[in-house]
Amino acid sequence: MSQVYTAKKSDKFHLFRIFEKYLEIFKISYRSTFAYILDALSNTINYAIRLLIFNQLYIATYSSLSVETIDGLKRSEVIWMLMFVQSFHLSLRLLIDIINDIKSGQISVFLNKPFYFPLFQLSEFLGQQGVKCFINIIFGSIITYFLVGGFNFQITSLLLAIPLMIGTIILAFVQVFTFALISFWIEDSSAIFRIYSKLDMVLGGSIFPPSLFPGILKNISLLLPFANGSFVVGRCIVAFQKDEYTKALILQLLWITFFTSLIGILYKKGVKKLVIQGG
Amino acid sequence: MPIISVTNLTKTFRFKVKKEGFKNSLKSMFKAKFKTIKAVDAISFSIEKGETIGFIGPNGAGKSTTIKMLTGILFPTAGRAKVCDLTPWEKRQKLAFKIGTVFGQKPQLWYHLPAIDTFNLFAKIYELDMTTFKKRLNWLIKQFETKDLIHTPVRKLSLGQRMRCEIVVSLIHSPEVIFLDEPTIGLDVIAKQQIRDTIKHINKTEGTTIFLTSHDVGDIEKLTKRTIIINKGKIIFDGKTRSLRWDYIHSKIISIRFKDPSFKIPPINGVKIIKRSEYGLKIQVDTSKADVENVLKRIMNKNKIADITILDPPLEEIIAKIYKNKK
Amino acid sequence: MKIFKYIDLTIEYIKRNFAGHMEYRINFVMEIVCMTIQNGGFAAIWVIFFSKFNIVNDWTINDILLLHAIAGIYYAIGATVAGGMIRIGDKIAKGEIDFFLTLPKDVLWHILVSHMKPSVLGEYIFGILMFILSGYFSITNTLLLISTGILAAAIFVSSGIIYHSLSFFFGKTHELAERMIWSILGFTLYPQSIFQGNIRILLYTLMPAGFIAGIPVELIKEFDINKLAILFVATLIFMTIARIIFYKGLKKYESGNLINVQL
Repeated sequence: MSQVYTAKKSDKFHLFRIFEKYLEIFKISYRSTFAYILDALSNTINYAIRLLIFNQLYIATYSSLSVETIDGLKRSEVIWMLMFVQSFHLSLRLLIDIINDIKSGQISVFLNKPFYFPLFQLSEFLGQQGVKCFINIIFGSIITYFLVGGFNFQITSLLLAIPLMIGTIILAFVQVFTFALISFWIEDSSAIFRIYSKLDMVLGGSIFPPSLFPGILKNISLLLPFANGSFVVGRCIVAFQKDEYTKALILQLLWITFFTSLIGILYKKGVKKLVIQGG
Repeated sequence: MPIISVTNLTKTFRFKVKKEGFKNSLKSMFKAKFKTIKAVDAISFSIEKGETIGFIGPNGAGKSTTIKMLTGILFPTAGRAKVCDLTPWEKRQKLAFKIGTVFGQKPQLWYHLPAIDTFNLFAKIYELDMTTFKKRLNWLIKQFETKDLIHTPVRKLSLGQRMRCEIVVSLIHSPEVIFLDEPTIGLDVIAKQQIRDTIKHINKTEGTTIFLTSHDVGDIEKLTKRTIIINKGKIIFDGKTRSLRWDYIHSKIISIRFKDPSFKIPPINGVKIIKRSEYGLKIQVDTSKADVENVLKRIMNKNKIADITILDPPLEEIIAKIYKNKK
Repeated sequence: MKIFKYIDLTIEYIKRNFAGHMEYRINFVMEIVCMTIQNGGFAAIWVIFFSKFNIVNDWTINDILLLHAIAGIYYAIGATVAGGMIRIGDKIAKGEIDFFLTLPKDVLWHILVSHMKPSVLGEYIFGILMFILSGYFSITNTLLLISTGILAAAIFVSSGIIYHSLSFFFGKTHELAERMIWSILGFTLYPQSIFQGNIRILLYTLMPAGFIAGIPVELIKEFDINKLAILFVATLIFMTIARIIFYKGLKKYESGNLINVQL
């Protein structure tokens, strides 16, 4: 009879073990993303074209109105802000992946592993999207600098933007995950999600920054989750303003809390449904 | 005049060889290393109208490459070929009117629509007169017993039913030759038999030349009168299918699963044990020395059987034997 | 006459493609709704933009709506008659061109008609809606919309064919081809007058948005027979180049020396 080996449980701190667990998932995720460098490079052509188009649009806009600034923003600042928004979107691919996991019953495999499924997904998401976003910002910055020159860069603004960046990624994730969980009840929530991400495109400042929206629309949009993602990161770095910053922090926190509680409720109900129905 | 004639047909593929990794990808962009593979090496054969030919060989032997050249999809590196008196790669569209193709892995029927819609579409593609087409279609449907199937969306049909409809589609324009590539792949025994019968039927009633490739030796045996075996680009056998069995297929492989682990096998002349495990046994029966039925009877007399599978020896073994005999 | 046979067959294919999509009724409707919302979203941004800046470079919201009408129509026509264009690169990579080679019809045409985008109806509806809202709606303009739409669709599809045919020569480029095609589409959604200098050259050559959207808008705003002639000639040139490159690539495919061909 061959020797029987049992893996001993690690002696480290419980919390630390949890952290290590998710760190490992994050590492694997980002390593596999780096393997797609060629893909990322070809993505930049797309990116460059988009920024180029925006630049042309705003050159025409500003010169047509014969102004240097609109609502306090210079043209170069607008393009920089757009670059940040373009570098990070709500990911349809992520939604489809999670939904597939849920539908195929793959989730049941995860259910008996000793980790919390949503957190697992978050770590994976951070790994993939975080890296992609970072690459996008690097390339985007090079292209934007080439197109419009620099902006009034303050190191403090960059540092202050870091909590907003983390908030953006988490906020994006919880929105996507909420929609994914809806597929416990609805056949295909990706259609609804597409509509949601269109709203995100319009009100999130991917072509026209909410700061420049007219009248009451501006006030409403700045409260919604769409404008409190990558847009506020861009605005913080490029054209920092104390009041706007504090407001953004608070709003991010509020929206993350909102969606997280939704997830908590939906997940619990959904797993119950899954277990009862037998997947 | 043979309907298919192939003379010294050769096909060599040349492609870049590149090692894994980013650095090597960069290297290969500037200084490329090439590797040549002779997929088909100066093969020759000729086929008369109405023959049923099995064209077999292991994976990578050159089967698909040969069929592609005969159907005009690929052009050769050297050699000549004529199908229906046309050079396939030169007169491809003209040839298309005279041949039919059924590829087991690549369906022609539209997935979401009933087969009848594809039939009507193909009638227009092949520029058929609608009245005679309808008559022919009705006849084909009757022959292949697909009357109830053709109005159901193809995606709802079973694989066997789909293959029957695929064959109907390939025959709509009354081709002189049909090329079938793995038509029974993935089918169960009964469905296989149905397909084989339908193909045989068409050959008998219309004199359509059948050119069949398959991995399943059973297909070849039941359906074709002549077999051509290709291995590593060369033809190693071209003769009567019957003699393939008589000369080279002398054994059956039997897998048995027993109810108790304490099974006993009496030594029987002509039976060789290939593998043995706690509950199972794999034996090879030399059919020239022993009778499968008797062997099984003797084993079953002494033991309780849970399951039996009887197979032909794999193609590779037949080919190995052919090589051995050649020496 | 051969061309009538092809027209007849094209109509057959359109009917079949449509019927195939209708089999999945819910999905069919969903696709149309999604597409309309997607297009609508973009138009919404413009509405917000122009409600802030009333007029930019002589363009008003009406001109933008007209632009979107043209975009909807040329895209819809292309997707109806030549929906298979978007799949060319993929089919080359998977060796699925073989199927078309065994049939007695022109290969390029066959690949184009073999597929149709399910949301096509939505694009037509959107385009017509935009056209009506733009204030440029009139009988003559409708005729112009249809005719320039057809020409623009031909140029768009031809560009797509050219990019996808690169897969014949360079292997795994079909993702790149798709990106280029979407980029062309992207360019056609912005008023061409904002593009200056070297970019203009690009927009009349490699990414012919200038021909696809620019000239049709100009023609509807103010008809000029010369511009129509230029558009017509450009269409012929693009179609010819597309055919030549595709068939050159097909020859290579038939010789079997493709980097990614499945043996």
